[in-house]
Amino acid sequence: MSDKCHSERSAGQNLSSGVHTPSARSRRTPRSTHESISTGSAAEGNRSRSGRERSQALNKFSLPRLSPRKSALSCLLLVATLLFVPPLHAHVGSPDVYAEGNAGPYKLSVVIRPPLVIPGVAEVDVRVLTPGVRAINIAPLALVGEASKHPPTPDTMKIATADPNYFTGQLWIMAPGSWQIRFTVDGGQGRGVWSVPLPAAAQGTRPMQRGLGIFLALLGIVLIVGMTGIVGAAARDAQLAPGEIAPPQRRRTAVVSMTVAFAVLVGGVILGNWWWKSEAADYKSEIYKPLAMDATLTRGNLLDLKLTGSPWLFRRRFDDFIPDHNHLMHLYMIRWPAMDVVFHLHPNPIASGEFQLALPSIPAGDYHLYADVVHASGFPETMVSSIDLPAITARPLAGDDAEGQANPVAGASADTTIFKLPDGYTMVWTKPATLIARQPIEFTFTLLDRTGQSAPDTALYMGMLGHAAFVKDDGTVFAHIHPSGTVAMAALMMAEAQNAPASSQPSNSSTDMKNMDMSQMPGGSMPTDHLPSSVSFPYGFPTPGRYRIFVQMKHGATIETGIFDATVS
Amino acid sequence: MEGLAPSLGLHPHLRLLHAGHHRLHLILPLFPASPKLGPVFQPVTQFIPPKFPILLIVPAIALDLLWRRYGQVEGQANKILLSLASGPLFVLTLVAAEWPFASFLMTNAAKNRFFGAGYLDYGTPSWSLDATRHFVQPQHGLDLWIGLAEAMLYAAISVWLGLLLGDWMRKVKR
Repeated sequence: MSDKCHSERSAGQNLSSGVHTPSARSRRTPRSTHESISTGSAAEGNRSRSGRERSQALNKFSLPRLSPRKSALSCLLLVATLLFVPPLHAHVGSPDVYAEGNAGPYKLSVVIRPPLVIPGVAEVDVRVLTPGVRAINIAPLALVGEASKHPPTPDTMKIATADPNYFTGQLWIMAPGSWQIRFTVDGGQGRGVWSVPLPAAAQGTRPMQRGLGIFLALLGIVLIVGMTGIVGAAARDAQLAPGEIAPPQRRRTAVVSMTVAFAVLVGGVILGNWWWKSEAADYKSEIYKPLAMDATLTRGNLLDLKLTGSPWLFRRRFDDFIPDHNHLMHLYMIRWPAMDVVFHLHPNPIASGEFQLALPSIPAGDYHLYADVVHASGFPETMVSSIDLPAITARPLAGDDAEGQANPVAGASADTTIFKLPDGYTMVWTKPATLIARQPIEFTFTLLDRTGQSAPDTALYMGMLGHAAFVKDDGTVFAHIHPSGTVAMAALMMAEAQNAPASSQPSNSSTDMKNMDMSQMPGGSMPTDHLPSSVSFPYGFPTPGRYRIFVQMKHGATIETGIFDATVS
Repeated sequence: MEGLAPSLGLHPHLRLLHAGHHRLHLILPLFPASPKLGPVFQPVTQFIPPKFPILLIVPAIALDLLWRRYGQVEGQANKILLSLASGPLFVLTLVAAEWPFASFLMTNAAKNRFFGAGYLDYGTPSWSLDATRHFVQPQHGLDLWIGLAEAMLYAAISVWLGLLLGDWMRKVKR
């Protein structure tokens, strides 16, 4: 059991912030002992025959062995941790999917909590924001490939007795990979369809409950003893006439038979244990292993990012990334541990698995790097690394680059709702009275001009009214959110393209994604001449603690970054 | 084949098993069904029967014929000899029957209600070996013969153990 527990450390160890190195060489940060990812265009078939073509990827983390007591304690702690902070492919330590969108005429707010293990049950909650919905059916299907065309028989969601606009349901996710949950809504305004991407991967293994283990062990002992007794009785008495007493020779034969039977049965148990461990090791190879990223600084301000990692379950590729709101990679650089400087940059690929970027002027410090990419299958990944940088004086920000600075998070004891921007504008967070972990919250931010009025010149930033990053101060959580939710926009577009009737559906290949107009994205399809000065993000904090929220909005040609602190209970 | 079995003295249970397989094949697709779980690669609309059963009936007939003639032997040496004959007989007759039959099942001629080679369950991708009708890593030459020799040995051991157990059970009184 201790071995299993060792494999189940979760994202809690993510981003150990204490270690500093003097050079600008990166330190790859362990995200968890069960790293992973899925991607691949070839993923589809693996989903149905997950064990057949699995890679040789194995967990390479080797942890110190613990004493039995410590081991048991750590097991409990780790199981508890797993229950609340599983690591994840897209985002870090924030596995639940929060999304908002329209199923035809009906606006829905959705929370999908993916299973910890695959196959496993995903919990689906829907709040209907448009009245008149009678029923919602949900079905899981692949995001790309043949299986994306054939949804299984949908399940009908249950309506909460206390709230007719709140629906709950459960779905079996039978294989790892890039999924979508299709919502079919029926109501007074007819039928509407909406699909939400769901990247699914096993995040760990769970040990058997102690009580159940003891119970099964006792049953096993009874079976072995019983079977040995049956063999002994058969050898001693079976060939005697009824009523005849067994002679000493038969008794000796019975003892020998029982000894042999017992040895065979114990051998069977040992073989069974070997088989069980072999199966467990096999399953461990299916646990998500994220891409790793090595960051180095060369030639003054050239940041080089090399992706490495095992193929994990699928034939993971490093060259199948698709644009996600105009860029192949979104890189957040956050100065650590103060979290007082943040950059949102967009490195470009220079080779398979290698990205580069000429850094803008940057203050010196230890930076944590979070890089978001989306594979052709729609499977998103967040790679984590860190790098010590000297002060860099180089180019100014350009294009979609964004920068923000604030007071160190350690000195900010209270939550902040107003952030003064460098150019005199202000960003205001309409903060709910309480912030509770794992509850869906609508995060609304408003941009005010220098006079304190709603900014009249709000512009779209990469096709949307805003972007937000939620980062926990211990580094265990990073989530890059959009107005439509936590899902990768590229994956959401792939899912949205399949909501239309089959006759009007475009192909959903990755090449098509490269040609998609980001202004057509959910949350971005609005007239650009008069935009609202507020943006909302559906999200839920995964765990209690202190968080820093980085919000980017744009007015005119200026990209603003507001920084807010939140305490979550 | 059901009609042939009694004339050869085939065990009634074996006949029943074989008949059951065939009826399952013919009856199951008559009932409508739909996949309840994803991913769905084949949009099936009815129950999918299991694969056509392995032709165990052929070695069963061969063993029946052999044991009818030599099955009543006494003495351990004779039992070992009978086992050494039964093992290869089982394997070779099975291979002789199943090998060409499996090749036949891979053809379009087997894609019908009776042989059921055209049925794919909903979880089978169109590019899988099943759907593209390919054998899984077939062995040839020495590898094949070594494998068959091993199978014959294991079959002979299995027959010998069966004979021993059968002898013992014949003497059970209570």
